[in-house]
Amino acid sequence: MASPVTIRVSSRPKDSAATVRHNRAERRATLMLLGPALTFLGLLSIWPFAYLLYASFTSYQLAIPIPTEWVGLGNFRRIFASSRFWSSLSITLIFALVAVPLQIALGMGLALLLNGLSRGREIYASLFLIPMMLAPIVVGFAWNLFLNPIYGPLNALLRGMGFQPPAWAQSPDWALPTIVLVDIWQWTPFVMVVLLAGLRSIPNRIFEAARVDGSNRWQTFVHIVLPMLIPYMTVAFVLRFIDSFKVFDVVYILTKGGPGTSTQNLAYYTYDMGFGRFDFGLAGALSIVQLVLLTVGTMSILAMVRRRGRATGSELPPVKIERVAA
Amino acid sequence: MASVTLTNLVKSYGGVVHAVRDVSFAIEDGEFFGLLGPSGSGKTSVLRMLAGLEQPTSGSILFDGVPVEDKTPQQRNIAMVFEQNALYPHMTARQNISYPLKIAGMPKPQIAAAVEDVAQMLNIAHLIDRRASQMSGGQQQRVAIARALVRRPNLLCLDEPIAHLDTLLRARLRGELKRLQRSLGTTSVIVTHDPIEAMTMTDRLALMREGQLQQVGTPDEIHNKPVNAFVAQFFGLHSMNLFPIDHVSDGAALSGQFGGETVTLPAIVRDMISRDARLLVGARPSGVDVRRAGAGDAPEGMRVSGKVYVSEQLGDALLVTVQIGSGTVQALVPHDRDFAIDEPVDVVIDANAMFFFDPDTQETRRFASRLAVPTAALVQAAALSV
Repeated sequence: MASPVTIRVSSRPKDSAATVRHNRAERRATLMLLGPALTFLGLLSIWPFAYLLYASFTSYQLAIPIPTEWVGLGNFRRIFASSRFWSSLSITLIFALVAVPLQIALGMGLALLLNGLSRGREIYASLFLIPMMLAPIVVGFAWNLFLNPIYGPLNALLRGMGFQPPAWAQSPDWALPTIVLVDIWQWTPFVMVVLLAGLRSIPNRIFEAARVDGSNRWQTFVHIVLPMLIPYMTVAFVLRFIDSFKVFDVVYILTKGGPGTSTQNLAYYTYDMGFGRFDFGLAGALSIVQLVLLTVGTMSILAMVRRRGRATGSELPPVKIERVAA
Repeated sequence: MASVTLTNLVKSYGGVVHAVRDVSFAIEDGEFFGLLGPSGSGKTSVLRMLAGLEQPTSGSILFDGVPVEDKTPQQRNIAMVFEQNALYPHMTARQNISYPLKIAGMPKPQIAAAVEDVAQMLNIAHLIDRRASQMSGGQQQRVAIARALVRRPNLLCLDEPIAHLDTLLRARLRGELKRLQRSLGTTSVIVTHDPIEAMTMTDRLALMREGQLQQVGTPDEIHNKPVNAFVAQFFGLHSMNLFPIDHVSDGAALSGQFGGETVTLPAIVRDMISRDARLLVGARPSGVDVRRAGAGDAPEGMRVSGKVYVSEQLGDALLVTVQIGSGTVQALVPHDRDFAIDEPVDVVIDANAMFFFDPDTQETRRFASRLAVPTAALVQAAALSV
């Protein structure tokens, strides 16, 4: 374990009157410059969030003209007692834990392929990026047409080849895999770009040293490339994990949470409570629950990676700043 | 251990850039061989072809008489130490050194013993559990050398292994590497652009320029019997002074023009003068003397007047640069002399220290009759001043 590094700094001498005046002017300028941005942030982000928090503790109903009442933790109690919540939570988790690892595996494969190209790497990389640049709603519509069980080109092709294709988004067994497939199609390129950047950051002489050491391609990948890419994989995983909790557009277009509740994830459930039933209190509470889940999930992934980093000693000694009198 | 023979080796990139043009030489078993040259001379390309990291465009490479052009670095059993930062950053020194043995499938207890051995040898036992980021540049290079040696390679390739270290550490590692190579007897090839490294460490060396071999020989041969003016100028602690002299005439005294100034020439140059009255004379700074203008009784030699451009105290000697017309000359003189900038001086080049080159082909026509042997102190002072 590294011993802490202590930095001693002397405390500031007492400020003169001129310095105080100067500081005050500076503070005023700071406020004036930051003011507009802070106002917008407050209006567009902080106030709605505070309002959401407030709503989650009330019986706020948009469509029914009953007085809004403070219900305390009532909404949360209703959520945790509802089987729909637990099923949508498990669908969300299954989605995240299937789609994200697949995206990382495929993204790694693509990144390795592209990294091996001696020319045209940029062109291929930009072509691969097209799905990522499309709005999810466009992606949803495109796949909706493509996978249409009756008129869609995919099923026509499969039927032509003699298969009995499933109804994809409209089949209870295939709806969730279909959503996973679309998410993988759209977001694997993002993972690819992150991992490609990681691969490009490994200096060539590391690969040459490995060749000289007698390491074959597979050994080099497992023992050298993969460990060196862990920070990049962590970034990709965390970002995709957070995003996968927020998948809504594609579900909305392709399945509307169905058939039954087979693709109803937390985001769609929340939407349904808020804008389907106008139960804003419950929808607000659901949003808060998701926020807490995501925060805890992300923090624990990061803590896990950090602990691993500490165990392997790649961490710098902690710096302790001590203030001593001048 | 292996002997290595290169024959007519050529490397060109895309058919336009000729990095190595027709290079042939042999490295004996157990020899410490140097590849020396300025940047772009093709020395690193030669090393990479020896190592198997690059394919020769044409020519052959034999290890112990067996062609290896199509073999991988592993099949050739070579090891390599790179310029810098080629340690696997996520592994400790121990893991780095073990890696080649681990993937070769050696049992763990044997790996541990081999790593222990080589760590002792390189004095890195106390660093064995550190990562590259927790070591200094010198320590990292020691680990890299350990990783190369742990496999007992046939050929050890060193690509400027100490070029990026500070001067004192470099001087120390030079000695250590030389001792290590001697005690292990591993055939080794070091690429360097630093004549001092090549001179101090290697048994023999090949000096290259623009992809072509200039001379192969012991450091002593190359220093004292350079084949041409380039070798003479490149190899040595200080660059050899070159004096292109024209309008040589044999009037009242033998004289010519250098940098627009008149040079008095000694009688020995007489049979070196080319048909169009030109001469190319070389002299190492240790064979050049600088005296105050007008001071008499100089030894037989080439004399010319100039003024001091700058004088640099090296501690054990004084390096004086003298401006002669449009040319300059460097001289190593005793340290207790003193020259002011722009002071008029006479430069005297000892006739016995003069090399003669062909003014057109630059090839050597006559070596100096008395070899300028700098004192140990001078060598040291010069080495540290580089």
